[in-house]
Formats: sequence, structure tokens, C-alpha cells
Amino acid sequence: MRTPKLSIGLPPGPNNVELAHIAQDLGCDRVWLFDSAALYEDIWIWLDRIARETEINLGTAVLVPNLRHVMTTASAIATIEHVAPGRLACGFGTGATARWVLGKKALSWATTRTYIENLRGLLNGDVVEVDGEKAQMIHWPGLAPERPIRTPLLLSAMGPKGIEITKEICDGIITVGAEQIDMDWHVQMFTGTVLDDGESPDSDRVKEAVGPWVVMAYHGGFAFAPDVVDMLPNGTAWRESIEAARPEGERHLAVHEGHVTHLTERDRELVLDAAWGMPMRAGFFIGTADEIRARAEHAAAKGVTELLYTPTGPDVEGELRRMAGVLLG
Amino acid sequence: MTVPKLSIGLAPGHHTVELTRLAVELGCERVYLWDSPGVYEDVFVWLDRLAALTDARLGTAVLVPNLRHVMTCASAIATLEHRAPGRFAYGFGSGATARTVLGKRALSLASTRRYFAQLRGLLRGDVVEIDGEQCQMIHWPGLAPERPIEVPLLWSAFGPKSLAIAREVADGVMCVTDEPLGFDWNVRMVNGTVLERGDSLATARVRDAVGPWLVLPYHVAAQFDPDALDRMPRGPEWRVASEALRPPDEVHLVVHEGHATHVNARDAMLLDVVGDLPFRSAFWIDDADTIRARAEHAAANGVTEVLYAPIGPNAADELRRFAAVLAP
Repeated sequence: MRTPKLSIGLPPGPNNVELAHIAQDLGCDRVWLFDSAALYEDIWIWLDRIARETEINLGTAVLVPNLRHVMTTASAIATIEHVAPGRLACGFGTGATARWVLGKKALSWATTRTYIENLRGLLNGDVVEVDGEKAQMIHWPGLAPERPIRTPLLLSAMGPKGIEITKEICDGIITVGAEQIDMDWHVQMFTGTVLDDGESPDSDRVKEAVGPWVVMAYHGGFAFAPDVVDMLPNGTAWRESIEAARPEGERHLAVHEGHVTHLTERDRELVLDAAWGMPMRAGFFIGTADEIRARAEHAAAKGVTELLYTPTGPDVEGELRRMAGVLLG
Repeated sequence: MTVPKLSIGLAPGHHTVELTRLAVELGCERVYLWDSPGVYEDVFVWLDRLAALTDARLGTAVLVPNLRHVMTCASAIATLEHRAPGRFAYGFGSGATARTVLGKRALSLASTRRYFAQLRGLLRGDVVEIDGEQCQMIHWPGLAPERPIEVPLLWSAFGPKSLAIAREVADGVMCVTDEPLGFDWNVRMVNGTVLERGDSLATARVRDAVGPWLVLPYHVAAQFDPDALDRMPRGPEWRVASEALRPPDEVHLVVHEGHATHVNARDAMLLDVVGDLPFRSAFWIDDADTIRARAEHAAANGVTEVLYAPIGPNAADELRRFAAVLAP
């Protein structure tokens, strides 16, 4: 049975070019970078560095509307397309985490939709209304690629409303589950790790490898409403630790430290084991080679065309090599 | 007599690599890139490319607050500093041109100042209030340089109020005047060309070198005071030609075509007349001795760095000529 293509997702940062080379050599389709300015380095600079030094396809997973003026995003896309035509795809989201880190809630679908429609118009070369004024890419020939610039645009959508908008205005969708969407380009983000022969799925190595994603339930819960965390295992102790670490108004800054890259001591001590039993972990690809392959086949059967693996933990390269060995070997 | 150091300013784009290499070869102090996404490619990506491909010191002239969230700006600065520490300086402005291209007026000095102060705080590692919430660079060790990130921040100032803010908050000032301002780091922007015997504004080379800048007052007037065009040479004719191309709310999109880089089809009709305008004195379009004397005068008044904008098909030659005249 067939499996989807395999891509990787990374936070923009100093290991990107080396990992992109490895991903390319392993046969991965694309390197997607995250965008969260308070946690990572600049996504466009790092995409460009990867573009210059590798041949692999590039992506954003995901850009968040409010971090850049839509013309700034259009110009950055043009800058990459000029040197790496056809290699870039841009995923967008409402900025749950990229905005939580800034103390804000996610953007509305209406705002996100407007931004994507404006961006698409700008890349087409159209005149679009931005903040009540007419705007257009009026780059002189040679100072940017000619319009239209046909960069595929995707949306990260978790619910029916987002999925509906994605189908209407985007070239593909990014999801975190394998639900049937029926789009030609369906990227499913996942994390996980391949178990060694005889290795327990609850081993310390496994927990460290996927820990930064497991504890997200607490981070997200806190961002949604701190009280919600009390309903999670050991949540009260974790919440109190956060509240002790920072004054009111600054607690989101403690919550999101190491977001999907590193486990803070607090998270390791207080919630890693507690979170391990939560249903969220069932979504992770933690299993033997055969089990992971079966999950990938299941995803393909549901219409997922691309699995976007987000390796974390102390051995990102090793995780990537093992996962690619299973899904591309 | 001394002259200021020579730097250059360029629109981000593929032509910048050779010009930056030349600037290094000629001993220029720094290469600044403009930021205006409606007309140029991405300034941070191009700074990174130039950092990788050349040994130049680099900078921005100027970044504009509303184009990027201040955290996005801090993160981009951190990214560049991580790779090439100490090579960058960042000028900021209220976005006269970068915003007019988007149909907007410049930002208020107050909001520009707020952004500047927030950025400085973020780079120090402080908790900073942004849009009513507490924010901080919480990059994990290794995912960005350790804070504080010490980069010089410059302020582009045109009037007394703005200059007063620059003195308070900035490490240096960017300006278009030779008046004494009392800054240790005073960057004076210049466009112009060194005239050879027989050259004038009718010479094709000279027009290529200064035309896109000489016509800028028409662009600004068109957007914010169109009636003023009727009092400017060939203004009415130029206005009719520009306004005929687009509906009223889109005229700014043709007005700014070629902004500071190329003379567009309407602007071409102005080149015979712009040389006589009063603002001509803002340009260094003179013979070598006069330009040298102007540079010495500027240095005597406290200008420490001339930021020259070489443009046109012969930008490299223009830069060579200017560098020869401004040799230390």
C-alpha cells in the first residue's frame, strides 16, 4: 500500500541547513519552517538560506497574518521565488501559538481569510484593498519576479469552518489528524518516534523525543483559560509553578518557553508523565516500523498526500533518519 | 580637510551584490538597504545574502514600524546578528515613502518612537508591553543569540521634533541636511553625481544617476497635495498623464513606479525642469571640487557619514566617481 510523501517541519534556527540537506538526501519532499517570532529566528532568512544551499522544496507552517504587513509577506515570497522558482509553498494559520506567545488570542477566520485573499491578489499582480487603501506590487522589472507569482497557499485548519474556507480559497490544507478532507494537497502534521526492537513506547527516550509536543496540552490549556489546566493531571501544581515564576500578565512568557523544541525543567518534572496518559498522545506516531507504516497507509487512504514530521528532542537528526527509513525506505 | 566616511544606500535586489562588493573594495563604511515592500524585495533576506556574500558592514535605511510586528523585527535582527555579529546597524523612519506606496501617510512620531523603544527593550531581553500585553524574546539558548543583543539603532529625522527624539533614543541620526545637529553618528543621505566637463542635467548619464531622485517631490505632492502640482514646472501636464492611468484611489500606484530607482514614463517629462527647482540644492550634482568642498563643509558641521545612493545603469561607475572625490 502506498504512503504519503514525507516532509519535515522545523523551527527556524541554526540547525536548519544541515537538517535540510539530510532531509533532501533521505528523499523528503519539503522542509517546512514554523513562524513564531518570540521563540525562533526569522523564517524568511532561514528559508532563503535553505534555498541557497539545498535543492529541497520549501514551506511555511505556518505564517501568521499579524506578524507582517501583507505586502511585506508578498515581497518576501517574491524574494524567495526569484531565486528558487516553484520551490516555495506557504501555509498560514490563525496564530494560535505564535500569538499566544505575545499574550494574544488567535486571529479570527475573517481576518485570516482577508489576509490570504489580499496576499493572493498581490501575488497575482492585482490591485487589492489593504486597510482601506489600494495596494499593488509595483516592483520595477528585475526588482522582483514578474507577476503573477503562483506560490501555492495552504491553510492550517482544525474545524469545519476553517476547512470550508480552505477549500474555497487555498491550494491545500494542513491538518493535525487524518480526517478525510478531499483536497488534492492534504498535509498532515505529526510528531512521534520509531521504537527500537523491544523498546517500550513509555521509555524515557521516547518521552524526551516527543515531550515538547506532549506538554502542549498544558500550554494550550493555559492560553485558553488558566483554570482549564486544573482539570488536567497534576495541572494545579503546574499552574501554581507558572504563577510563581512570573507576575500576572507575564505568565504566558513562562508557559511557552521551549515551545515544541525543548522541555523546560518545570514541564519535565510536573507534567511530562502526567500528560503521557492523555488522549492527545494517541495522535502521535509512536510505534514500531510496521505500526508507523500502517498509520501512514491509513492516512493515505483518508486522502492525506503529505506527512509533515516535526522531530524534536535531543536527537532530531536521528529521529528524522529513523522516520524516513520507515516511511521512505 | 576631512570629509565624512562614505556609505551607500541601495534598493534590495540582485544588483546589490556587485555594488556591495565594489563598495567594500573602495573602502566604503557601510551598505544600507531601503525597506519598501511595495516596490522592493525583502530587506532582511537581502541583508543576509550580502552578509554571506561580502565582507561589508550593513544596515537599513530605513525600516518602517508598521511593516512588521516589532517582535518579528527583533527576531530578524537576532537572526542576522547570530550569523554576522557586529556588522549591522538599523535605521528607522516613520515611513514617508514605504507607506505612501501603500496609500498611507507616514506614521506619527509617537508611534514610531514607541516601536523603537519596544524594539530596544526586546533586544535587551526586557519584558515589553506591546498592544497591551507583556512580551519578551523567550528564545531557547541556541535558538537565537543571548540577550542583550547590542546593535546600533539610528533614527531618520527631518524636523526639530524628530531630531529631539533622535537625541533621546537613538545611537545616531540619519538626515538630509548639512546643518550642525550635534550627534556622534550623523548619517547624511545624498543623491547626486560628479559632473565632468560639459556634463549637465541634459546629459543622459547624469539623468540616469539622479533622475529617479529629482522627481520625488512630484510623487509626494501627487499623493498628499495634488494642487501643489499645478504650481510646479510641468506639474499639470505630469498630473494629467498620471491621473489618466488609474482611478483616483489608485493613482499612487503609478506615481511611485520606479521609486528612487528608475524614471517611469511620466517622470521622463520632468527631467528637463527638475534641475531648476529649489530642492536641487539638496543634491550633490556638481563638479569634483564642489562636491569635495560640500563634503568638507558637511564634516565641519558634524556629518560623520555620507550615505550616497548610486543608481541607474552605471551605478558602479557613479559610485567609483563619488568614492574618488570623497577619498579620505
